[in-house]
Amino acid sequence: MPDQSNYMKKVNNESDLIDRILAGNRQAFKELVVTYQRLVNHIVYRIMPDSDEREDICQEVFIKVYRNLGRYRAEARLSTWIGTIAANCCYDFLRKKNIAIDDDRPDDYAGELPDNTAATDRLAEQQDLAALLRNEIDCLPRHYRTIITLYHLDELSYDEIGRVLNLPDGTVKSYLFRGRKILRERLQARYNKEELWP
Amino acid sequence: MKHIDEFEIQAYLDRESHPGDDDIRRHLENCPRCREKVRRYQDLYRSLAKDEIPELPDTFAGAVVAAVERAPEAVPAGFNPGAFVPVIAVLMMLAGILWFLGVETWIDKLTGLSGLIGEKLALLTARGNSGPDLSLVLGVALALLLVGLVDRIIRRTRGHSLSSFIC
Repeated sequence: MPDQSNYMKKVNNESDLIDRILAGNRQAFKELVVTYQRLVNHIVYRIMPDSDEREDICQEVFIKVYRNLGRYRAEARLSTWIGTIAANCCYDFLRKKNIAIDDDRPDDYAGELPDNTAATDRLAEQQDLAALLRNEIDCLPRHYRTIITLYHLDELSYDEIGRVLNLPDGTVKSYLFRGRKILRERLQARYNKEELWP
Repeated sequence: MKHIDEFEIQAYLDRESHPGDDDIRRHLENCPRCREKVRRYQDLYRSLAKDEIPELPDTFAGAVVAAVERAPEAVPAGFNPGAFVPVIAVLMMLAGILWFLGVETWIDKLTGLSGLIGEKLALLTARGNSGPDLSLVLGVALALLLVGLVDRIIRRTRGHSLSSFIC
């Protein structure tokens, strides 16, 4: 939980940044892009890891942010608002390509996940545990891997993740727990090493 | 003794504090099996926090700004309904005062609008032909003015905006 004074300072800084952008300051907009491009990139990458158009989609997200900034009402944190735009851009993109947004299989995921044994065995031989874990995350259902990244890398709360992905808090929590359980089980079962992580 | 299940372990590691945490801690002190499960999750958490995702190029922010400059609709000013509330309030107050001073006949001559509005308000307030109640008009105008001013103050501090409730 962020310290209240730090939180207010951040909110005021965001407010100043928005005011400068609305006044037409392009440098201020560039600051905003630099600040939030990591979050947007994570969302786009996790929802559409195979897309060649990742950079174009990220760009489209920020153009939408710029055009709609006057409508931002600070009811959510700026990061959550931008994250929501990023997720919606990805969902639109998937709909256009007729790809199912929700590829999650909550009850029978264990038997349904793609078999990536060959790839992970190769990585295990190279003892590249980070790459190994990355490979397993990539094989998780779309929402599972996105939620795991938003929680562990971007440090968003359950509530913020729910707002970004338009999912109820309970679903976020459930997907997050299941995703981590799958990762732990798969890594442990496949390599069965006493010290899997350094 | 009942072991801690995996979801309980994750909830325990995710939250800062919870009334049931003391029970979990006590159990962990006496249960090597659950301690091992917690340790494995802690290791997983550490690895997940270090996960790497291919970054966008360094030129990305500059490219976005250039794209915004090229785009024909590159104007960030969005519709802010809250900004219109004080304006409407002031117009209503002016209209009310003019009405009170008897300027309605002059407006009538020009537009015929005041008579129409008067009729509608009279129907609304069930006052027959006696015309609109000035206190009603001024009261609504003052309320709107107040809402508009409060909205501006709240927006300045970037808290919740009243305008979102109005629209």
